[in-house]
Amino acid sequence: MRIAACARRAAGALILAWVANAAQAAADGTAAERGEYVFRAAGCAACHTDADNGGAFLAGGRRFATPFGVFHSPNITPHREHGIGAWSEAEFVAAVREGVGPGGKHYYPVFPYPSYRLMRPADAADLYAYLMTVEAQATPDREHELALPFRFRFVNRVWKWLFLDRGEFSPEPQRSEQWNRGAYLVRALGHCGECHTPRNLLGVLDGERHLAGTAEGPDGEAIPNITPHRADGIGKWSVSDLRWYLETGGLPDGDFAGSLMAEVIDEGLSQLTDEDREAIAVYLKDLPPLPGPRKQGG
Amino acid sequence: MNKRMISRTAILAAAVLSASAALASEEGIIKYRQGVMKAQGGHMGAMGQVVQGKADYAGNMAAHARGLHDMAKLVADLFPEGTDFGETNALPEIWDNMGKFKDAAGETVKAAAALEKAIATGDRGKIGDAYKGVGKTCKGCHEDFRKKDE
Repeated sequence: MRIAACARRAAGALILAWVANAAQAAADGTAAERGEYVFRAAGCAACHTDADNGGAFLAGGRRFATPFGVFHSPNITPHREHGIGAWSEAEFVAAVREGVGPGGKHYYPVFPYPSYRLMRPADAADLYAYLMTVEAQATPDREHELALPFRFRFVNRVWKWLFLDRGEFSPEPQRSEQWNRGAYLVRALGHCGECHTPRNLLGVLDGERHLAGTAEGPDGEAIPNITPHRADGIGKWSVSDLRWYLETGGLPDGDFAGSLMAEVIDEGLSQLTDEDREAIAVYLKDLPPLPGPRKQGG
Repeated sequence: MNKRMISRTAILAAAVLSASAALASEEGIIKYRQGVMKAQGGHMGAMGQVVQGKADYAGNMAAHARGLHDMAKLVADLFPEGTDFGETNALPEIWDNMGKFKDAAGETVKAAAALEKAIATGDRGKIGDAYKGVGKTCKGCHEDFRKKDE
């Protein structure tokens, strides 16, 4: 028994080392260079840049209409007053992984810390190093416009206490290294489930329907099922179809991605390594195939 | 039925008829432009297999690129006023920003022309890049002007 446990632990450590190495290989060099790769894989630019209205890179101000009210993304440039320039690395890592900013400000889970909590602290630290190198912007943050009970941030604290799991990503030793890298990219950095997994009325992701799509996603749009269900998901896509889509946005039928996903591809996925896109595809193809979501009104 | 009543009925009938005639033609335009879009998607899908090296029809690429280029030139004029209702995934942003929309549609025309040139060189790397360049313009327009349909 003890030998088996030891072996498992050793295998786990090996895979952990591999995941670390793969990230390293993907963006060798300084912390800021590695952090830039994390930045792309984590898709930060799409939300933190108000591209439609000509907003400066990472200066925030993008509007998100949700059932709880309207959120505006914050400035994450290193401006000392309006951005995160006065934050320490430890404060930044806590903000990303635990959803709590300097001074104990608890974030709304529109910021995807329920996924980023799985981010390896070293990756979060590299991300900090990269963000400190971008141009500072003096764009003040805009207040959220929320329905009454949600205006109080202690609600977030309660929500986190009730629903937020703890702990970073732990690889599954019985799976391949590639699968584990894909799982890390999908579940932690890529935070795919934040859109592709349905939520309950309290905004909690439904773990039973991981990546099975939702009729009511961000901006009120339907979000597709990306489990390998043949009729409702990506069951008919090959790994190479998926890898190609993640790089170019081209679907097997010749259509091209639009909406938020076009941004996610342009700003992030298209800039990852082929190995990482392949790992994502391998992980997705290995998910339990789930049906749905049911279309509303036929 | 008195005379006034008859003329009112006639006017009403004429109004209903002309409204449905207008509706029918808008419906037709919507379906027509969906056909044009699908034709472009068809060429892109076919070329995608060749570019990925999964189908060995490099000799057909020029025909696909020409077809794509011809279709792409039509797009800017397929969104007249009144075709924003009904079974369409076209977003109101098209009619709110017609200038921006036409510019975006023009990007695909340019990218398709560049793809034709790249194919003429026979250089696989250049063809792949130019193909991806077209894809970028497809996404660029879909991102701002098309509703997700699922």
